[in-house]
Amino acid sequence: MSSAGQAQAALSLLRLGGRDTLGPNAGALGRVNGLDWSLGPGLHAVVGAPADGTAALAGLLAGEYPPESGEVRLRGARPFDDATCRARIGALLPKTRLFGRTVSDVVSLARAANGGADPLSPLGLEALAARTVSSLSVGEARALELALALSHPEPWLLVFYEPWSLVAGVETAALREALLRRATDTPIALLVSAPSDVATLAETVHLLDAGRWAAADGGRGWCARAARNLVLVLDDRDGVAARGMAQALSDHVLDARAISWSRLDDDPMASVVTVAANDLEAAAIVLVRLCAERAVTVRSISTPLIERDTLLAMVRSPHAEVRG
Amino acid sequence: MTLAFRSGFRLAASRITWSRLAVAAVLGSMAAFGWATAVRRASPLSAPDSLLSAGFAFGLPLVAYAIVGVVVERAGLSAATWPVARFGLSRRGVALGFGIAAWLASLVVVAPALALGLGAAYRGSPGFPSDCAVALGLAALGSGAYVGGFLLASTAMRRGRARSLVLVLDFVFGAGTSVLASPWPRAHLASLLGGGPVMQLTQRQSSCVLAVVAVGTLGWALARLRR
Repeated sequence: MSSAGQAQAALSLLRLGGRDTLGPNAGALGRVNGLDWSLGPGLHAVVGAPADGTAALAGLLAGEYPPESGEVRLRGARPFDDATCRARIGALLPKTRLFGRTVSDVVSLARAANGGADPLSPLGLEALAARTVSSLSVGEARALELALALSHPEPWLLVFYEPWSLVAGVETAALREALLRRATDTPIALLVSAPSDVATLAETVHLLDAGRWAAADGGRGWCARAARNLVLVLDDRDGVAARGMAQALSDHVLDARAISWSRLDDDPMASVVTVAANDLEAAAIVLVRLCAERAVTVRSISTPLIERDTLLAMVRSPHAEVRG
Repeated sequence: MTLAFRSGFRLAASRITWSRLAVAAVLGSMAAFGWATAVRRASPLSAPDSLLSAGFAFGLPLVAYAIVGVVVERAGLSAATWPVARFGLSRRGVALGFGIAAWLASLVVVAPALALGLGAAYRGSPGFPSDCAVALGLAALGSGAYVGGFLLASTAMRRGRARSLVLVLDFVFGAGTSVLASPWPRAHLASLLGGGPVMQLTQRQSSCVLAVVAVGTLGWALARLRR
């Protein structure tokens, strides 16, 4: 599956391949291969296990790991190579690596580097301020990283790996509210292993399986928060028409949040293009015009909303079933 | 860059820790004192030379190797800078802080051992102050070369395992005086202590080579890092 671009995309993955170093002897626990992804402001979820590459993807997005192939482009810069770009990324990563003797030291370093307000108060973590870093539990250390990421004054990208797991002292509701607030002007990547964590929150959801996109909104995937997706099923034997449509849409649908395409698993003669946009009517008009210009045969246009239980059943079923 | 350097220095210091450094310095000093005392009993005149030869051939490289390993947490140099670089600070600045901290830490371990060992080797004989000063100067030069070399090696192979390779190569090739020995600090330090000249270089030239190796390898290590 491939994902095409988005107008005003802040973050683009181009055939990205890479791995984490979380396995034994700094080997790979998971890796990603040939991922294409474009996203703009909003909440974008990636569902998968660490071994499927979610941990690797988090590190690659934040600039911790270098890509082995392809690239990550954040507003034109590569996070791993560019300190200025990294300064604009807030991240909660799989492995907490805090530097400083006390929590205040960590906060001071982050604020000296990036500016920003007090990160602890908004999430009710003031009690951590007086603690030494070595005294923090894993959950508290993750909570501190989460708070630092959320308090970034002008982020280009926020990356959260399992923000609902092993995070101590942070209210779920407060976190959801904070994420939604930041999502209005910032791309946020949520990497989780449980679809229920993001089913009613994320605007787009991708399923990562063995390092590749296995499903995404509208493909064999699901519609996430609100039915703001248009799903177009095309007569398309080899995916060329769908890919071309996705690229054209990225140029013409100005408020698109994400555009993706995929082959329809149970019909080799069809492909699916999914558009997530704020103004679906405008997007539909553009879509129909482009179909007419390109002489593409459209089988259906819909705005599906798959029930949460169906989604859970899909993701919990064996991978072969999800991928068809 | 200044914040990155300062943060790198502090990060390295927090990994080395004063207690580890103190233990290493005490153990090193006890070993040097014991060695010098034992050699002096057998051959009082050769005790200082024996101490310095052993110290610079084995002690100094092993101390620098261990300290650089601790500073980079036995990982690659790039990964070791992440706790600070994640905030957008330059990896190169952080790594420079690592280098200076590791160099100073090596000196903190090696200098008292040399001074105490030489004191035991001379045991009141004349020549101690001047030899001690020269030895400390060589230690500063040699530590710089080893720290730079090990930091450069930390940028190669998974988890910077080239560090061990550099240690072995220095031990093997640095024992000679041929062209193969010329890049290795061990050969030049031996020359400066009165051993055979490396490729017929004078001692002054060997000192320059060590300085160039120290600065060059550190610079090369920084250049291999992405910002």
